[in-house]
Amino acid sequence: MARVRGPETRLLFSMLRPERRAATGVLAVLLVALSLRLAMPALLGRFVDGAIAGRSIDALVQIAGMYVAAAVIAEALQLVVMWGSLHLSWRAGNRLRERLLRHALRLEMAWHGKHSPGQLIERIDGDVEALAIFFSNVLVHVLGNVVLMIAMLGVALFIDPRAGALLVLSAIAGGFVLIRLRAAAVPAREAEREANAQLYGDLEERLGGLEDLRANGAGRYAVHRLHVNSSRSWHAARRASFLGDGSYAVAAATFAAGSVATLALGFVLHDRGLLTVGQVLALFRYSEMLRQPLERIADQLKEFQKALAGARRASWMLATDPSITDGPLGAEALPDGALAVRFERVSFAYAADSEPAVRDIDLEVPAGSHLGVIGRTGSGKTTLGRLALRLWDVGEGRVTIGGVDVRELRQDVLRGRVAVVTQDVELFRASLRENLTIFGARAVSDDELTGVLRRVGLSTWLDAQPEGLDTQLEGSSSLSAGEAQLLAFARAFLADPSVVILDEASSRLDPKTESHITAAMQDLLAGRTAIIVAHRLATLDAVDTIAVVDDGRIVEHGPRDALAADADSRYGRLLRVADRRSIIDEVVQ
Amino acid sequence: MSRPSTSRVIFRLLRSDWRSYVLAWFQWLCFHAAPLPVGWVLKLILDRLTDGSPGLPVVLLATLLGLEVARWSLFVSAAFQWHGAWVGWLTVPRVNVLSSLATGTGPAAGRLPGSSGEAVSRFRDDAQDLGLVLDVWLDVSASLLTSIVALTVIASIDRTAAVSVAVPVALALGLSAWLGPSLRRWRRAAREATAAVTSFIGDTFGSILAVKAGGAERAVDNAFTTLNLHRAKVSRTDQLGSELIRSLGYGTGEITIGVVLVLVAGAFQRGELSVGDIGLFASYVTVVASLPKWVGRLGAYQRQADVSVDRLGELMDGDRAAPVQQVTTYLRHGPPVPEHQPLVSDGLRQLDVRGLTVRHPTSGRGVEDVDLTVRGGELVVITGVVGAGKSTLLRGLLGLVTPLAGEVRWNGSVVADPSTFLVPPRVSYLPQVPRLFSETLSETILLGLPPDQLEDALWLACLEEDLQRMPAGADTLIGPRGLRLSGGQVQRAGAARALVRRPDLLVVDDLSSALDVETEMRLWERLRTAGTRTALLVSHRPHVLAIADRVIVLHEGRVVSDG
Repeated sequence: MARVRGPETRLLFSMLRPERRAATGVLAVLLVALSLRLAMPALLGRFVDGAIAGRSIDALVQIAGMYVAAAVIAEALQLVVMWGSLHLSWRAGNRLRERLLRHALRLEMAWHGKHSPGQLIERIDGDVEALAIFFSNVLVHVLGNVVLMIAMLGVALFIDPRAGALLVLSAIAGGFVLIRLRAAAVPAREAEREANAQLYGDLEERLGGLEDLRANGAGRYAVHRLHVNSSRSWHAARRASFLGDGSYAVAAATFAAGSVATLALGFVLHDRGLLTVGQVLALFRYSEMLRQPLERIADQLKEFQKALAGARRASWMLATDPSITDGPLGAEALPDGALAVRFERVSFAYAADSEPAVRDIDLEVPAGSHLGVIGRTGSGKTTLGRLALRLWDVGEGRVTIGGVDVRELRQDVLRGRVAVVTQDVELFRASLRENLTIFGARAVSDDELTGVLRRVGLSTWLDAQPEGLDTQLEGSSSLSAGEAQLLAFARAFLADPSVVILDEASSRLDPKTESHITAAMQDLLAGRTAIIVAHRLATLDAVDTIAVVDDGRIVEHGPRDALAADADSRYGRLLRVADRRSIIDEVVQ
Repeated sequence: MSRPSTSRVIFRLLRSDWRSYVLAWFQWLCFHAAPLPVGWVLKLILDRLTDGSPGLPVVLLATLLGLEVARWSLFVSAAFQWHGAWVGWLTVPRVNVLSSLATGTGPAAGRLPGSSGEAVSRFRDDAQDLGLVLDVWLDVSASLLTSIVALTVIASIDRTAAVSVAVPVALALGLSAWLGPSLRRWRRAAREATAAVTSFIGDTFGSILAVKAGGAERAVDNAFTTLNLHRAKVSRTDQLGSELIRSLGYGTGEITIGVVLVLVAGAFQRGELSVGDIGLFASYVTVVASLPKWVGRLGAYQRQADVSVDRLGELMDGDRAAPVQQVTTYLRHGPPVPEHQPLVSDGLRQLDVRGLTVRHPTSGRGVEDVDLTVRGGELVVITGVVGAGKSTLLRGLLGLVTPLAGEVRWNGSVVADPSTFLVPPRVSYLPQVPRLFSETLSETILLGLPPDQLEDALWLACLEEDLQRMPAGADTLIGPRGLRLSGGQVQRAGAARALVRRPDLLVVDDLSSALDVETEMRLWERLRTAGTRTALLVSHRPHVLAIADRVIVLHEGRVVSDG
């Protein structure tokens, strides 16, 4: 707790700032509740002393009545405090969640390549959860309990300095034991959490791959792993319990010893006539009450570590500046209609120390023309599209769209004009409509949506969906791979793009389906510039030019017809190898 | 099928290791009851304070200290014992359900809910819900017994006091029992809202390319805000509800002490009650007042367990009692090392499929009345357009979904349960997107087999060049679900996994989506010369069709050509 001025504490304060007023209010109510709690043992003492002194029944009933009232009001106020602190901690937590999500969305693909969605769930939700819990607890438990404890010790000192001093000593001893021993138990708790994470992580994977397991006769092996993991969890849980609950028990016993000592001292002081019976009773109750606030504070110390770690990670993430930032030019910089795409001496590597994915590429796709790109897996075909969309920035050279360097443009403008369809269709667990418009990013009417679905050949499929556009898509389980692909086409064309990049987009479609949508595709691609990456040559029958990529370089580029006719061209050779495809045409027809 | 009640099911779970339950129960009972002697000694000490006898009551104070030390030692022992028992309660349903899913008969995967995350929550949350009932039984019974003793003692001292304790506690009990079920409903709503938020984050960043390419950042942000608002609302209700139950325990205690004071003021003032009695009331009231908290939880957990038992039962064909049947858990010493039965089979002469009709469970489409034959040594290819039912045909044939009609014959005899018969060493299946596990490459391929066939399988699957480029060869960690591998490598690792089992028949669902033609052809070449000779595969690659012995064309769920 020594460090006060790290970026993590700044983040905590920035979370708290908008909630200052609410927090002050909650704190005020809390103080009232606590002072009532504080009064209760004193009232009990007065009740006993009053009875011994022979005061009237009415007076005694009045004291007891005050006790009841204090208990009821304190409890009600405690609930109000809880309600208020929940409100403000959820507000603050959600504000931070949204800030983190927004920031992560701005970060470039290279960053996302290194951070899995699972990690981001942990960053955006898990860490913030710890922060928000801490946030509400600091207010209710830590601040409140510190105040309660100090006040309690103050009252005890006021009743009798010696007894008060004893209480202070026992609070220090108990607190020390509590904090030191609990710290010793932390690694064991961590190990327990680790063992459970391992167990659930393993189960998640095995259940996800259940068919693979069964089909490979490995079911018994999966059960064996569950046994191994459960046994680990059992040992870890018992060890953590021994250390954790053991340290708790030692602390509780220390406090109990403090209470017994207080009682003994009370006896001595009462014998000398320095304390009344009621005061001894009140002091004893105070000594018993000390334990709870200290426990809660010690609990929060652990949460505090977790929250600090979370805040640190969150502030790191927020401190990561996107390396791909908006250029100065807006929509007006680009002419309407199809746009030319040019790669000028472009070289690019995914990481500083890795082999370049593309080297010294010079390539022009005139506005409205269609380029086919072929080459072996890993030759750099996909990279071209990613650079045109500016998902990565080029290392050397430049990529222009409509004559403008993509780095000069605002990203939303660029991506409003360039669309991409890849082989991996990314669907959300949301309605069909939300999937097509990506949560309303495109303002499109339902008629337009059904229109596009019809054009890509999904109208029969759509008719079969009971709730039409409101059908919930559960990932891709309700769609075949080919249908998902068609949906991706529909999504891309809804944006009415000027440039379309199809990256192996039809590789999951069979030739018959592909030829079905080829007509639709030609229709959709008309008047747009297209870059079509494919390993099935038939896909490229209608393109204007062909580029052959090998090891990151363009090794051949020219009009398709000329290359097809040239017996020595690579494309020509590939075409002849593929000519056996007539076989399939025969069987399918 | 009989439908045992939830309590019965949970009682059966208790019996699976009743010794540890009884031991835990007894220890917790002692711990719950510990405040009774402590309170009694305290009363004696306070009485000594007022009766004017001089000197410290050393023996009583030492007894008090000894009782406290004993009480907290008991706590450590009880907690230690309980944590082990708790893991045991969770393990029994998990082992039963996983065994049934992974090794039982029939199309098990169809029993799983949509996402694997949801499936895990059944293994985690639903199993815990069962355990929580066992736990709360323990607390309720111990707290009830202790409360009865405490009330009896109070009544023996003063009737009015006993009544004044019983009335507020009974009120709190009623409130608690009434609140319990809502509490679980709120908890469930909060869990669902949380799941919606986390899966939204996961989806967003899993589909980050689509989001970015679609320029949908702001729209995603807005959708996220809506989900967050809803979650904050339901979570607040949930948390406030839990606080209310807690407060019923603590607050009722304090209020009841006050009520007792009001009602016994007269008796106390007249000297019918001693200071020690007042002290005893105060400490015993705290014991009795914790009862409503436990009863509230009992109502909540029991109600929730109804749903959880159903949900676990669904994973086992709707049999509610099956998840809690007796099973060895091996918790203390770990499971025995599994024995490997040598993979031997009688070889495949002929596989016949007759009149097979299969429907896809969600889309309702499928194949109708399909006949096909694969003879030993043949390469048979199924082809057809998207949605023709190719994958569904393979899955129905292998028993991964239940066929509506038809039969499968292996070497002439009818296969009763394809899902457990058509597995290695007879058949290996390679799905379109194989699921790998986050361990080393060799582990995800072998899945528990001894490694003697690994080299061959890696070569057959054309992985040898990739291996040279990996930092630790076959011992390289491949990341969550094989994320560190390329799509083609994942598919070939899946192929290696199928081939290392030396099946008589290899069933493959379309390799072409992640493998280029050259690699795929090399793979088939190696397989035809050195590996499994018989294969049934889905493909529409001309090259593959060209090397096939027979091609079967599916169209709208029917065979339109075979030859």
